[in-house]
Amino acid sequence: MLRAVAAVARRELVIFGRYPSWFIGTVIWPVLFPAAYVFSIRALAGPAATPQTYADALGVSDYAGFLIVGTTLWMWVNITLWSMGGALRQEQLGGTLEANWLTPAPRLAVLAGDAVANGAIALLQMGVSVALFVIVYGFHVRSPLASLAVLLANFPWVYGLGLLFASLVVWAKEVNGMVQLVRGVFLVLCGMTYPVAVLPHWLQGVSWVLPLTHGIEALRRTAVAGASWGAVGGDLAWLLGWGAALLLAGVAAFRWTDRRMRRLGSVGTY
Amino acid sequence: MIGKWSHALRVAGAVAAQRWRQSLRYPMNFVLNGVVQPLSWLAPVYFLGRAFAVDGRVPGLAAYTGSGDFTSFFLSGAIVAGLVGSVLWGMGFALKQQMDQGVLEANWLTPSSRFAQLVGVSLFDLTYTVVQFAITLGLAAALFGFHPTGSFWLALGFLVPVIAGLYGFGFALAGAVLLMRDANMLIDTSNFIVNVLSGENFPVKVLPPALLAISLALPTTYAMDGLRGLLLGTRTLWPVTWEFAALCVLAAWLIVLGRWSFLAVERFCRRRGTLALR
Amino acid sequence: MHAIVAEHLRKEYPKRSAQPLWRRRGPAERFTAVEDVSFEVRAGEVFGLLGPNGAGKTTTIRMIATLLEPSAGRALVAGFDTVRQPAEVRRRLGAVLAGERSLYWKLTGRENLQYFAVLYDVPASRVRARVEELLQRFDLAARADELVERYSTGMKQRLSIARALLADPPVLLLDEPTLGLDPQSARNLREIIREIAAEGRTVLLTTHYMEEADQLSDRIAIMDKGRIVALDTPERLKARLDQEAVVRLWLTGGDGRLRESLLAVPGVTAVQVDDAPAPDDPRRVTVQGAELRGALPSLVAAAAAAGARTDRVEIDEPTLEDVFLHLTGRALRD
Repeated sequence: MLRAVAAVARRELVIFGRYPSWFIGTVIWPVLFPAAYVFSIRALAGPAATPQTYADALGVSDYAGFLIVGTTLWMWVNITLWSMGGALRQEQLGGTLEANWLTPAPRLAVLAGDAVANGAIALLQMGVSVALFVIVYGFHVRSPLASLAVLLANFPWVYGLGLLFASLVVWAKEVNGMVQLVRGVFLVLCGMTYPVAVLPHWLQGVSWVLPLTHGIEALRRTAVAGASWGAVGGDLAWLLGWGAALLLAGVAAFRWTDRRMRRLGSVGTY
Repeated sequence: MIGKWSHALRVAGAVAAQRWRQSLRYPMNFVLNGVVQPLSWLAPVYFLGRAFAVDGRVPGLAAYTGSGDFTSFFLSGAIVAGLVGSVLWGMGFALKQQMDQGVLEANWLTPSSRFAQLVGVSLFDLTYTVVQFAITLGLAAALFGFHPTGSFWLALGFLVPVIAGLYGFGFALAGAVLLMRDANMLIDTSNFIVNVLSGENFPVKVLPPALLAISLALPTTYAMDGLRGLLLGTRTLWPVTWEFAALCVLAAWLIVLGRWSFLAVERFCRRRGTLALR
Repeated sequence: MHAIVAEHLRKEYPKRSAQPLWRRRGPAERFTAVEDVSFEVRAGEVFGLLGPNGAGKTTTIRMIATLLEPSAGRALVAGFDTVRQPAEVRRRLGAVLAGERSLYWKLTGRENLQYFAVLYDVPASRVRARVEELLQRFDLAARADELVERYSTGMKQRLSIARALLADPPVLLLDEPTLGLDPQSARNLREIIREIAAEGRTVLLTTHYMEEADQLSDRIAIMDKGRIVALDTPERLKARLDQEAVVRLWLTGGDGRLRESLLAVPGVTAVQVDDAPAPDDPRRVTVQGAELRGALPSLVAAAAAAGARTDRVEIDEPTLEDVFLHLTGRALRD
């Protein structure tokens, strides 16, 4: 079981390295994406801005750090949904999914390997990003250990959601609409570029239900504002709760899809 | 020459008609991709504006531009950004699709001009995005508020040369798609960079000098700045008539440059024989 | 014990509807792809499923491969049930179903095999040697470290077969193995299949090429419209048609009445008119019936009545194609 997981993860990593566009995804986008908003913040703060101007509006004076946390987490969720959903669909269309399904390896292990590879790539990319943020934006991680703990607490829900998407996509055959919807909700509501307090009151209620809101908030408080991880305990519990629920839902959806495919015969055809 | 173009336009018309038919068959897709998505991309910057706003206006922005009306500022940036997106995607993607379907070589063996085919297909694509975009803008105005104080029609005139310039850029991009094949990533990235550097969501004055230099070489920068000057009465970089002149010169220059680089890439591909490959 | 057993297999699908979900009324219409298919494959046997496209061959082989659940009936591989013990079945099964597309094109040939070796549970210490052995055997060693996207169709197909053999399975399933290959590669591949069978493995293959089934199979099940219409050795299948039961006419010209005119000759049971290779060339017409030698003058006269000139007449050995025509009244390649 574990060998199969490792083999799938290795396969994904090798293939990832063979597409030249990985460079753009790893090096260019993480820096480019927050840049757009960094300049917006500077413009909104005005020519006479002081650190207090930023602190009044955003809650912290390190506005670049504030943005980087939001954009990095949002991009991670976005990429995971696309790649886990899209990859399985690609394999289904191409015929490699069927080849995997024909082996005695447990099917869930194959999928778990996918998630492990995606997670490893994401961690690697975030490592590179942080290094680039230090160079480009003078970013400084304040409570590194607590920040790492917060980051890791996000993994279960992100990959649970990825698993759920991967299963639904094989069945529904259309990934774009669903990914657009979910990432759109996160984009609008989770405070990627702004403090949640500026949302209209009723929207704030919705926002605080979503895991990404807590992920961004907790990481801002630890990495940017320097809080210890005792200060974000509530957020961590919320994240892990979502993680458990989404992982279970993902596995259940996968089981259901697997049975359905065997009945209707759409492992290979489309 | 006229014959080539009219044939290409007929082909493009057929493509456009079939796109309209398809999209009207899936109204949900039209609404989600065409309206909800662009609208949701306004949210991050709109709420950011609210974080800095005092009584609905942002004093910092007013100090830079002369107008604190941040929603109108962002929305007028979005108008130009929408045009950039539709020309670049229309161009690069039409090409990529033909490559994927393996019909690119067949199309290029026909006597109609390659530029006519590229322009034709994306021109009709433009009719599609303009309709989508008008709906989006109307909704955005209703949701966030849009208060132009100047002449709307004069501002529209400002957009004509920028479309021409974007086609020049589109030619170059189409050449890059021929070379790199990974069209999505390429178009997405260049689309984003052009929009950021032209000041979609901020006055370009806040850019560091090196980036500002690039920004001032883009026609879209003058389109956004001039459009805001005309619509919102913001302080422009230069007088608006000068900006219009700069816009026209840069657009013409981009068309020449784009055409040249596309032809160079195409010759290169022909020598290497990689046109038909996927 | 039989290597593969199919008992009354049946598979039906809901018909695909062009209507969106919310507009459908009533229960979905169903379409039966396979109906009451039963056969047993002995260990070490090469068993062919022969039939035209859409006959249900692929659906049958996919049910045996555990990719599809039968709607009724059951299938056993080495005594294990494909629905209740799929993992046990997959351990004993190598399969080449989707051909070249089922490989990772961005991995090399060697990497593909190493990856699948783990999934087929080849012991870690044996993976390297096993992969090398298969690369050598299938003549892929020289290009083992190139990306699969640069392989020819024939190489990809050989790599797929090598993958199927990774775990040294007793049973091999091949779905249209030579489809899309040039004649030379197809010949090589048939040679490979013969070698695999000679090692004592059981092979179940589907094909719509009559010669392929004839040359490779110990026994053949002829399928049509989801059912098995005949099952026997190729020799015995052909012996079902009497000597003098197949006459081939080479005719030039002739109009739409040709087939009817020939069918009207007493004793004739089936007629198959092939396309002419070129407009003015003679085309081959196969006539089946009883004791046709005596009917030859009537056949020539019937052809003439439909405007065709008879260039040549042969009384021929029956082929599997003739058997299919005899059983279904239709040509195999339609």
